[in-house]
This record gives sequence, structure tokens and C-alpha cells, in this order.
Amino acid sequence: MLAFIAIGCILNMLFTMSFDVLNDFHQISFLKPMREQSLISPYYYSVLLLLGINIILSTSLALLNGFTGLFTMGHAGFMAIGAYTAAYVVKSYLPTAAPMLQLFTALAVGSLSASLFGLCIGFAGLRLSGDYLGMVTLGFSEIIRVSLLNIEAVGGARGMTDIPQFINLGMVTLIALIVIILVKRIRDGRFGRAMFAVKENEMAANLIGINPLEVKVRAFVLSSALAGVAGVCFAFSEGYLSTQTFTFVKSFEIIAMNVIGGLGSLSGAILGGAMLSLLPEVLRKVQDFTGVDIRMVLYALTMILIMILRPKGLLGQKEWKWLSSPN
Amino acid sequence: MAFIAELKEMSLYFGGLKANHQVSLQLFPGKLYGLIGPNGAGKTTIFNVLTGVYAPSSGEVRFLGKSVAGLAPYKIARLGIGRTFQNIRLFKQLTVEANVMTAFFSQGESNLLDNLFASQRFKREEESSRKRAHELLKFMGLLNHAKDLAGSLPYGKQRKLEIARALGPAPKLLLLDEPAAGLNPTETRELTALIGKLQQEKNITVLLIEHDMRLVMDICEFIFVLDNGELIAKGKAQEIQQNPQVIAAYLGVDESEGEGE
Ligand SMILES: Nc1ncnc2c1ncn2[C@@H]1O[C@H](COP(=O)(O)OP(=O)(O)O)[C@@H](O)[C@H]1O
Ligand SMILES: [Mg+2]
Repeated sequence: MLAFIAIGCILNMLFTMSFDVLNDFHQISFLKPMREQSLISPYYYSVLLLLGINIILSTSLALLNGFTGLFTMGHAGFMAIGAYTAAYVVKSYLPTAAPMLQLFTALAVGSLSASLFGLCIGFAGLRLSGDYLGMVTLGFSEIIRVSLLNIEAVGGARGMTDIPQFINLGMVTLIALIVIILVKRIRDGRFGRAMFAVKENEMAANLIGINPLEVKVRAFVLSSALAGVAGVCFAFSEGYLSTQTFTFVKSFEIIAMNVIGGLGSLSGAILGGAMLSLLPEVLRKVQDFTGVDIRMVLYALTMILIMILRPKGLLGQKEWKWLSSPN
Repeated sequence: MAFIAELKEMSLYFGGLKANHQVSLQLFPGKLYGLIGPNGAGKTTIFNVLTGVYAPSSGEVRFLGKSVAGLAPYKIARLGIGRTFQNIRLFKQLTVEANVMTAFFSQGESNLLDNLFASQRFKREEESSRKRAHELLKFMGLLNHAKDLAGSLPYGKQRKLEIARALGPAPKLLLLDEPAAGLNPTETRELTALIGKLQQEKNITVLLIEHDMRLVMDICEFIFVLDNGELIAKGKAQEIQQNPQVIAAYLGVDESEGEGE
């Protein structure tokens, strides 16, 4: 499964990048939008793009829900902050800058702004635990969404349009890989160990000198920064933002990715992200074939079936070899 | 010589329940102390107060000459008090070595950026903490389990691992809460030897709660007896054995509750 996805990603990265990279490398042309020029059809291009972004989201949430045991329900909010802030800054201040500069600015602004919100929510919500933290984060993300809906500078209810589309499938794949590697590094180091310690036994962690609050805030900041990165990928590949994308439904979808794949497993987060991105499209084929409108029913049924057959998710706590943990 | 730790008329009440009442005790550095008493006497509560889990209702708690009453547990841990738990609290999904490595967290110097970029400093620190964890595991006789999941260890070894982890932050005072509970006689003997060795080689002050009277009488230089939240006796093993109040407290328990856990 993994090999299949990985090879698919790499092939598509090559397909979408290769010719331009060879022809006019000096223009850093792999930053151009290439949905139309791609060797694969625009439909598959969109599906794979979403897959990459979802994997970033799912992986980043694993830091919170999976590793630190913090049940949060507002990940779409962080994504929205990253997407809107970066899009606004690039559109307003760097509309004609070189794509490379736009890209790095977008990534920096998107991740920083999202992590700033993560920090605030972290401090505000972390005295609560369990379901209460879930409700607080859900509330926060809805506040973010409704606020964006009412800010005219970012398009208000019409949404934000004409965002430069300098992020393509190859770039998203690359960013997703980097995010996976970063999350793996965190997980395997002393901060990751502290996260697992806090998740498994907060009192014991506290009594060997780990400040649980500090660990949780760190997890929040990192996770929200990476969700912001996903938002940046989304904004600058789609070219259009609407608050409709960032409802709590999206947050739940990201949680479902973690749970389906195996809560606490990085590989699981990736697998779950891939599954829930591809499943609706596979089912679309089924629907086209049968001619019956049962796509969403099948989608829900598949998820229920997975949870019945594999209550700990597809991978449980296991990791793929290349993502295996020394801890 | 000065006390390493001291309770001064310390009381802790849960509503009307006097879990600890006017407890005063002093611990001198480098010694091995026993804390005994029937079930529910308030022994674990004393540990909880010493480690900051509970703030005392009244009285003083001093460690290294500093008042630590009500200080956050992680701060007290960093000052140098380590402990184990009556009901084991390991990080079961982490490996045995990682359990010990978590205990080095507060000594870590690499920051998040070091970690994200896998800097030299980060790698060096990881390597050295793994090495130090292995040394502690070797000391506790667990080195061959380093890569196993903590949750997969047999019960007796989990108890040892908890001690190894408690030693991680290099505590000056180690509190062991019924370390021999649930162990068979062979394991108990092994553990007894280990605690003695640990206290001598590492020159740590140890305060030990234990139901196994023989274990306590064998290795503890000085014993405190707690009953109904109050300190009813303290002294050397022989003195304690002959103390009528202590005998009464224990007989009372034997009639109503049997051998305890
Ligand atoms: N968190 C708590 N809330 C209420 N009562 C408690 C709490 N912790 C301990 N107690 C009570 O305090 C008394 C002493 O408990 P403890 O210190 O655990 O005894 P032991 O000597 O067996 O370790 C017991 O009666 C226990 O029920
Ligand atoms: Mg107890």
C-alpha cells in the first residue's frame, strides 16, 4: 500500500516537473501551476494534490492526538489561519515577486501565524483535558472561521480569489515528505518521548521532571504550524479560498484519518490520510459504474467496517519500517 | 549534618479524613529509611506531599533547606526527589530504554530547532542519553530488555524499570512505594540486594514504604511507623519490633484485613 502511494507520488512529481525543469531550469519553473500541463489528467492531478495536503494535515494532527494524547477538534481552524494569512500577505505585499520568494514568504507567514494561534489556544485550553479540550478547540476554530467570513479584506463571504498558484503537485509532494520527516524527528527525539510520556501517564511524567503543560504547548505550536503549512499548500495550489473549506467537518475528517490509520502511529496518520482522500474517488467510480447515488453511504459504511474489524485503526501502534521509531 | 528532607507538623486532610496528621520526620543524607504502617495509614500520602502531588493542609515540607510545600511536582523532581509508585506507572508503549530516557528530559540542552534539523548537538545528546540509560539498565539488570516495550516486561522487571527511571534525573532522595509488592520471594531478595547496592554506590538517601516486614527490618537503618495518619513510632529495627504501639497497630490490621496487599 505504502509502496504504491510512494511510487505514485514520486512518479507524479517527476511527471509534473520533469519537462520544465529540464527546459528552463533557471526560471525555477516547477513553481508554475501545472494542472493543465501535467501528464496526468486534471482530475487525477486534483485528487493527488488533495492527498498530499491531507497527509500533511493528518501527520500534523498526529503530534497532538496521536503522540501527546490531546483530543482536539479544531485543526481546520489552524489550516484556515495559515491559508488566509499567507494568501493575504502574498497578494497584498508581494503580488509581483519571484515565485520562490512568494513561496518562502507564504510558508513562513502561514506556519508562524497558525502557530501563534496554536500557542494562544494551547495556553487557554490546556488547563482543560479530555472532552473539554475538544470542545474548546472546536469553538476556537469556529470563531476563526466566522471571523474570516466577516473580514472584507480577505473576501468575506465571497471568498478570496486570484491567489497566485505557484504551488503544484510536485511541490506539495515535496513539502509533505519534509513534514513527515520533521514529525518523525520530533517523535524520535526527547520532545517526542516527553509527549508519549505525558500521554501515557501524566503524573509519572510530571514526577520525573517533565512539565506537562510545556510539552503540550510545544505540541500545539508545532502541530498548528504544520497545519498552517497545509493551508498554504491549499491556498496557493487552488488559487481560491472559501471559509466553507474549513468547517468542523474538515476537522473531523482529519481526526478520522488519524483514527482509521491508527492513533499514535505516524505511518497510520499517513495511511489514514491517503485512505480518506482516495476512498471517495474510488467510490465515485463505483457510483459511476452502478449508476446509483450511494457514494457517501458506502464511504460511511467503509469507515464503520474498518473500525469494527480493526478497532485500533489499520496499523494500530505499528510503524512502517522507514518510519520505525527507536523509542 | 543537616537534614536532606524534613516534614514539620505536616498535615493533609481530605475533607474530614486525616490522611496525615501532624507528621514530623527528618531524613539525613545517605541513609536508608523505612516507612511502615497498616493499609490506609497515610504512607503514600507522605510521598505525595514530598513530591508535590498534594500541597499539605498545614505544616512545613523542606528539601535541601528549601520549602517545597505546594511546589509543582516537576520542579521538585528537578530539585532531586525521585519516586516510584505503589501501582506501577510506566510508559507502556515506549521501549524500556526510552522509559529511562524520558527521565533525562529536564537535563536536555538541545532545543526544538536542533531536533528539527537533527543538529550535531541533538545527535550527540541523544547518543549520550541512550548510553546513560543503558548504564542505569545495566545496574538494574535490565540491559537485555532495552529494546522491549515496557508494557511487555514481566511484573517484577517493571518494578525494577520504575526504579531505573526514577534514578534518571540523578535524585538525591529516592522514594520507593512498596517496591516488593507482588514479587515472589526470589525477586524480593534480588530487589533488596539491589536497593542496598544502589543506596551505597550512588550514595542516595532512600525512603522505602514496604509491607514485607522482613525486608524492612533487614535493610533499613531507621524506621518510621505510621498509623491512622499519625507517626506513632520511630527508631532502629529492634526498637520498633518491641514497641507495644506498633505491635498493636499491626495486630489490629491482621485481625480485620489479613495480610494486606
Ligand atoms: N486523593 C484522595 N482523596 C481522598 N482520600 C484519599 C486520597 N488519597 C488517599 N486518601 C485516603 O487517605 C488515607 C491514606 O491513604 P494512603 O496514604 O494511600 O495510605 P497507605 O498508607 O496505604 O499508602 C486513606 O484512607 C485513603 O483512602
Ligand atoms: Mg500506599
